[in-house]
Amino acid sequence: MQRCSLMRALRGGIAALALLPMAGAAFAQDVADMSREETLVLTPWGDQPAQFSNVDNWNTYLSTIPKQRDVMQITINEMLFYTNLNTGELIPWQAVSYETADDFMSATITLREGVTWADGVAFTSEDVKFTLEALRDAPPEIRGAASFNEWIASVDAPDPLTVVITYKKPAPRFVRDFLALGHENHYPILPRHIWEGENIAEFTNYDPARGLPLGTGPYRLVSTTTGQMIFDRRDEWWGNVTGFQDAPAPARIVLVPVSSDEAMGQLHIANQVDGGRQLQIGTFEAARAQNPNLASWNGEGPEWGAPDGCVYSIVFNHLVAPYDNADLRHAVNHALDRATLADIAYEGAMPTAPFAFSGYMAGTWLTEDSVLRQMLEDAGVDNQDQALVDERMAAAGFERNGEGFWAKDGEVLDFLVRTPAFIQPLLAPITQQLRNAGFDARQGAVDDTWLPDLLSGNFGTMLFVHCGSLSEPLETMKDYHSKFARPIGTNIPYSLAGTRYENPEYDAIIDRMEAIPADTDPNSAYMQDAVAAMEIFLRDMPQVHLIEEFHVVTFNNSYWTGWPSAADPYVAPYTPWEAFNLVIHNLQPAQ
Amino acid sequence: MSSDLASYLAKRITQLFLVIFIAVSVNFIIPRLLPGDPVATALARLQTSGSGQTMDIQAVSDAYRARYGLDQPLWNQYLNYWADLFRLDLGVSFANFPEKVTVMIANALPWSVGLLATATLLSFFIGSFLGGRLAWPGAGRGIRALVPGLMVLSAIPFYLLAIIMVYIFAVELRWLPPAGGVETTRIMRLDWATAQDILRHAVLPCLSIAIGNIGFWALGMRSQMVSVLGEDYITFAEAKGLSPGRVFFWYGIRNAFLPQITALALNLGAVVSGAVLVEVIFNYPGLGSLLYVAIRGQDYFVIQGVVLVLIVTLAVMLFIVDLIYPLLDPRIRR
Amino acid sequence: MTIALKTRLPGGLGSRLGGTLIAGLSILGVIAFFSIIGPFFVDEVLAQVGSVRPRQPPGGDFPLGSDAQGRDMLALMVHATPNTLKMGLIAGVIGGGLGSILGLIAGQFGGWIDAVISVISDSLMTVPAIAILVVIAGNIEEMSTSVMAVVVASLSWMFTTRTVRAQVLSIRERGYIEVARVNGEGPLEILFREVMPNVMPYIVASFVGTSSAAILAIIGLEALGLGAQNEMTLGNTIYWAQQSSAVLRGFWWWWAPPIVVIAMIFVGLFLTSVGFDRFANPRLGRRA
Repeated sequence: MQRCSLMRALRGGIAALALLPMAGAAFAQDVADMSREETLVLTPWGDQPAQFSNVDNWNTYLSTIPKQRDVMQITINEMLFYTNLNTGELIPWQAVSYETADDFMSATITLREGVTWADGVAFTSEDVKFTLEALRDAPPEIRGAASFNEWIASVDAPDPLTVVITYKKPAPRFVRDFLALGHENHYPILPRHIWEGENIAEFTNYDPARGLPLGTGPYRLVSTTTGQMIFDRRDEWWGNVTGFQDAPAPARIVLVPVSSDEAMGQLHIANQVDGGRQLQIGTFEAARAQNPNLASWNGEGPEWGAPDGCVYSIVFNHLVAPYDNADLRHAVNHALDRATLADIAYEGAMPTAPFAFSGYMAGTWLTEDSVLRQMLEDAGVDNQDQALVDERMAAAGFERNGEGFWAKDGEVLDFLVRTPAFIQPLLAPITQQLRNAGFDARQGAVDDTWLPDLLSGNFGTMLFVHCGSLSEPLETMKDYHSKFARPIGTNIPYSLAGTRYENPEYDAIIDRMEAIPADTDPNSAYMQDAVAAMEIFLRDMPQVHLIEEFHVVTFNNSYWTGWPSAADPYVAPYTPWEAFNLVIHNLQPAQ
Repeated sequence: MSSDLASYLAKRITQLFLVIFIAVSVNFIIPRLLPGDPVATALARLQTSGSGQTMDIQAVSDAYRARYGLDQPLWNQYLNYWADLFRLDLGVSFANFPEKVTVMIANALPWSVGLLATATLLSFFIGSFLGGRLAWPGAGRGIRALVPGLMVLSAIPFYLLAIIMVYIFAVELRWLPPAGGVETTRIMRLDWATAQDILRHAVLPCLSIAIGNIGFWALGMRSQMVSVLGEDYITFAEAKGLSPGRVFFWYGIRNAFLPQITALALNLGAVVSGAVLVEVIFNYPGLGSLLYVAIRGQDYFVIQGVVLVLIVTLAVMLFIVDLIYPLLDPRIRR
Repeated sequence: MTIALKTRLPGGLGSRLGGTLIAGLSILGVIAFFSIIGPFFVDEVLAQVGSVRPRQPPGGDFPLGSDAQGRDMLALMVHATPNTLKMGLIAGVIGGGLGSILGLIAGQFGGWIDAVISVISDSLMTVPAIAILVVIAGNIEEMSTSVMAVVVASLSWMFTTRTVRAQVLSIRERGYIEVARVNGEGPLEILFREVMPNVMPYIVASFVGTSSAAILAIIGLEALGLGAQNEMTLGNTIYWAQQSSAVLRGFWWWWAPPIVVIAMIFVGLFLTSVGFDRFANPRLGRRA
């Protein structure tokens, strides 16, 4: 009767609805099935949406297309060199060596023989020349355009295996930082025979018939949909052919989106994924309890993860009173108990940091007998002491008002603590500690206005990251140079240099350091300059550094082993970094 | 068609267009009231994700703003907006430039429609039949005992129910997958294996929405049924000697159903709202997740596009309901 | 109808107040009681970040355990519940009040006033509240519980307007209204002396309904992270639990108590609403 046909209609309707999602997906009819044991499943790093966008736009250099960072760096593209940030060791890949001239005005790179693009065309110095000059001339929305324009005058290709870069000013560290670091320097060489004549900002670089996206890497793209990107190994990869390296073990690499920490934990537990997005420490420990094959960098916690070169710190806007007062900044420093902050906000997963040096400096610049380390220890930066707070605030002209809050000339200091979403765990504990020390602190809203405000100077204090400290002290100390300062209302050019600190003495030191290569010898000019810069920092404290950012990188050993770890530190373990390519070549099937 | 009906139709259609016009205009204005510069914000977010640390934000955002007419006066932008709408161009996402909003919505829509439509229809029909049965005299003990349970379930917002279900079925019992639309290594094809995978991943999100709403529909239907039972035509039908089942179905349910359908249309807004959270909880790649990410990223063309789709859909559905109602029930024609 | 209503005042209450209404009011009463009394016995400091040892399961010093950021769950529940109830109350009063006034005006005066109010109300009804609310909520710099309540109230008056307007329209056709008009009572007098007392039950019922819908919307917004971050509310607790992957980590004492309290609030509101419907419209009670 009516009810039966209704039921039948319902059932049919439900089945049709179930297959609706197929309507939106592109079909991958000609993709072969491959067993889970041969497949490496990864996700992009960090907070991402639940679906991929721009599935058919593989432009390598457009800033809003993250594909080079998400997956191309380990599949389709390769770099001239990689660096093992743990040891500083240079690992030549598409190139074999490089030399910088004595006057630092030029550099010569020698390429490896036998490197070919996926379509068989030879990889030569003409490709390198084309790419570097295209980046130099590119519009601002192209990643790296500003830097390449700043440093590169011209590039020559005297023979197919030699590249000569001529700089606009002395550049002792350009090749290392832009072409060899294996970090977030996502500047792969482009195939000239494909990109010449194309608009670098608008070329979609996607044409399966021509084999685009085209690179020198051991994988090629076979399917791209909103839910998956699939790459299959090509055994005609140049490394295989020339005997440089065997082709990697995984026959297929699949990239899937994941939008939350919890979802990633679930995927790991179910062995649906092998690596990618980092986990929070609690999620990692809970997931590991259910799946003992999960591992991070360290063998035991709570500091499971590895450094990423960044440190969380409080940025003071030096153009806004009273944050331009060094005593006040020191007072804030002494109001905070870094160890407690790390415990509450990150459950002990991240170590404290008195200065913006990262763990990657430990083996070279912060050794036991290093003078920089000695300076930091002597300065007693990480020292929560109310007496020192009181002393410094008095020196700054403040006194406690009737309610116990710091006030000057009758006006209470309204301390608004702001932070971007990714540092949110620190917001409440810091506010609480400041209040305990007598500051009338309150939590700011966590939304996306922090960045325009940071750039334009529309803030008093801001919790942010201070990065760069991977190879030498200059990388992180240069951010206090006044060339990054701008008046309030004008955007600063570089978000990591938000203090608008201006000190000509400090500028001179940095300018000198930039013109010479790094040197750990305590008697070298470089080291003496570093010490001088450090002295100024410790005196003025333009930023209060708090906690070093460790991420709990998570790898699943159920199907693949050979991941980097503290026990086997052959490369830094961050999937979005260029050097993660070395991991793909090191993986072995788990059985 | 009588002139009464014709004028009613004309009035309703005018109302529909007016409603859409107002809603679309409101939709246009509100994101532009957001402080800060969404272009700069979107680009700056990319900076912090490590990929563009040496980018000159100002120059890039100026370039984008010029390209998308955001530097024009508000009135021009408004007119351009309408012009684009007629061409079905909902703009471009900032965070995922140059992806078009229509493409993003088209990708997410099937997942949401599948999930919501299935869950809503399931809970609506099952709930209504259950509610009707409950109101009918002679309902057994067993069914009556369901009432408090249904009430509690309908009282919990269904996204919270989703959390409970993930905990019980995915984390503790591990019967069902806790997240995603399909398995990570599934190659999507038009075959039974893919359909099965999709269904398996859809069970928990679907059940959360369905169970959370069954109680609502059941109780609503029950009270409608109760007032219908008080009507004279029921007494008349029984006096005529019709079988109880027939009276129940042909006279009871059919008449109680009409207000239920109106309630369904009116409640779609609430269902959609809750579904956003369900999708976020389950990492389900539908419109809800899309809206959520766009809001956190201030991607306002995407927000506008999704909200527009939702508004127009709801307005059209209410319109259809208002249209069907007088056709079904001659008493209502005004 | 008026006569029946006037004899329904104290005296006839007992038979009209069904068990449902009493049950609903009791649940709400218990929650309200603990919300008012509780904060005097439990220190608010314990509900702040970092006050107690984090991640402790229930037992010993912490009857409901502590969350990953070091808040005592019992203290958090005791202080969050009144905040949530307060928001629902404010939103219910503002939304219900606004809706009732607009509905009364639209129904009583008709004409273009009615047309304008109806069109605005209908258009806003098609807007999925969460979409507009998230945009507004994400926009306000210092979100507080009162601001949230007002924001939500601004989109929850429409249903009340519709209901009240329909009721006013049907009452206007009654005989005694005609009598009053003939007697020379002005439209405003008719509105306050004849119409409103008869619409009162619907206004009260809509207040309950609006509060319920408002709390639902507020919790939804907070669970998405758009609530007043500095304040303790039930929805914020759910959001913090989700952010710290509490479900995966098995911290049931973090996400379960707020859900239980929320469910109780809604069950209470629902029973009150159903029970009140019977009180106001005795026909509903006849056959059930």
